[in-house]
Amino acid sequence: MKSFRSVLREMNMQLNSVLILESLIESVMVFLAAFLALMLLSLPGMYGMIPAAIYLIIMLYIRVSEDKGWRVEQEWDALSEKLRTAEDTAEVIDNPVVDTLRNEVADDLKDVKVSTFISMRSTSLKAICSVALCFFILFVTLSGFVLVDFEAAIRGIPRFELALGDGEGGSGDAASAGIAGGELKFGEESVAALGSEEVIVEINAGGFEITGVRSQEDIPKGDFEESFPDEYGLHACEKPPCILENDVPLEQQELVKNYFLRLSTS
Amino acid sequence: MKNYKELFDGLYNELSKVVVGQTEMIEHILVAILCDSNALLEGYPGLAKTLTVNSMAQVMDLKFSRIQGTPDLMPSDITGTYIITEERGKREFKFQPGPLFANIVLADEINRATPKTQSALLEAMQEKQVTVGTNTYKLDPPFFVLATQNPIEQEGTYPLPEAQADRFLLKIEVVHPGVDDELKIADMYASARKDPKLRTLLNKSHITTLQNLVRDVPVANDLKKRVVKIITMTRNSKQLIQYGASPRATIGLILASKARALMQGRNHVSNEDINIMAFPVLRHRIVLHFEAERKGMAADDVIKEILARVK
Repeated sequence: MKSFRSVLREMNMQLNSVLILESLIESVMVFLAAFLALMLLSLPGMYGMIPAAIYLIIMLYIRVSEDKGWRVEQEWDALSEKLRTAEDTAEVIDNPVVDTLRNEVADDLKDVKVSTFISMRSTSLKAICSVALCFFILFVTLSGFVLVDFEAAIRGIPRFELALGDGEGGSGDAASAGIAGGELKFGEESVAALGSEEVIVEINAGGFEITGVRSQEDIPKGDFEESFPDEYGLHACEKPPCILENDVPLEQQELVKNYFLRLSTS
Repeated sequence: MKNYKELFDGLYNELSKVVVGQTEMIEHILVAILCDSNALLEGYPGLAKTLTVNSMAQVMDLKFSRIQGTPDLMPSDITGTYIITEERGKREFKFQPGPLFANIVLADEINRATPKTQSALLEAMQEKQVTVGTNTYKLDPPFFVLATQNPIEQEGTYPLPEAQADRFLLKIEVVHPGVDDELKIADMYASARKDPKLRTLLNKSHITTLQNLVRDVPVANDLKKRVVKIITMTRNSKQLIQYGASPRATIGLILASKARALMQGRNHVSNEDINIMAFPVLRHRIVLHFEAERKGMAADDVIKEILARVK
């Protein structure tokens, strides 16, 4: 015959599985509700996993650590007061009365069905709520309905420009962007120099505009030029394999080389 | 465990041949016996207190003796004394045991005996022994004292002090029988004389076994805590109770609940046992405040209020 402790352990395991299932169903509901709420606020819905995870952890902790005996006694009158007395005296030995109590409780526990602890009504309600939430999420996604557009409120990366020309400070644009001349946000100004001329860099907000829509027709085939365009200053060699040569003046090559060297060392 | 219920049901049936009704009194006396303790019975004359105790002694094959409390009762009258005997021409003192040397002692109207005699009785109750002169004599187990008190005619009495009343496990209030029971009594005792013979259902070894078994009955931790809370509340309810119960009451209530559980054929103590046994265990251990008496509350009313508050 199984020892009483193993009977109690089995009972706790069975009940824990029911409680874990309940907690999982409820946390799915919390996730769906949070997802829907975030979508209505035009925020990323996957952040709904955070409250769902917190809820799951808290409920698991509370439910798994609670006394299971009380739950069983509430559902089964035959075990009322007997089960907790047997649990409290689980360590007692050489006591004939306690032995008969344990045997009785172990026999009564065999009749206890795990399905008794699953409330059909409440589980069905939770399932229906989850399905309803899924439908709402689907509706909101398809219709693009938004209650409050939080994303628009926080949209827009601020424009800024580095200093131009004399290198004294920021241009008006840079100042309006909130970057004062001399700020080291994008590196030393002295680096942005190619020879004696300063490099002008403008970073604008990305955007696009459709200038025209090409009609759908076959793109005319062009002849592939074997030789490289003149502006690159590269000339194909007559016999491959060969090294492509260019006619960029040496001075300009040196300038570019120094520029990148300064960038790397600054 | 069901066998024990059948055993005690058999006891009730056997006693009902001579005692009509009074099931609560019989149950509480049995509880006191199973707890190896003593009980105080308070009731008007003619309520079958002596008959019940005597019949119980017969059913349990125990030696019964009765002590009538009177103001001139001396301690030696109950403990026994040395008398001079002559044997083979030699005179010597021989100890003559008193009525205390029995298994069940009924001390009728203990409040009429002098405090000195009460002390001698209480020593026997507590120590299960009697001291006469320089010699100590052990009393044959099991030993129970069932003392009675008359709630009327209090003139010339020596009420038991609270400290000594505390030594009784239970104070059993014996009430008048109902109409149907009184009719049965009239039929039984006012018609042709019948002396029903009572069968012996238990003996000393059975009683000792049952007493050990009572202590083995388990109690859940939350019920033990409830008992402690009840007793503590008797000390903290200053507006109703002047002096509360001592830890002896905690032990007594748990033991009495265990005994009742065994008699009901259960192998565990239930809340119902505690609720029922709280009254006989506590009513003589609490001293009511004047405020409670002014409101017309009795000890039982106060105990009922405490039980309702402590869940």
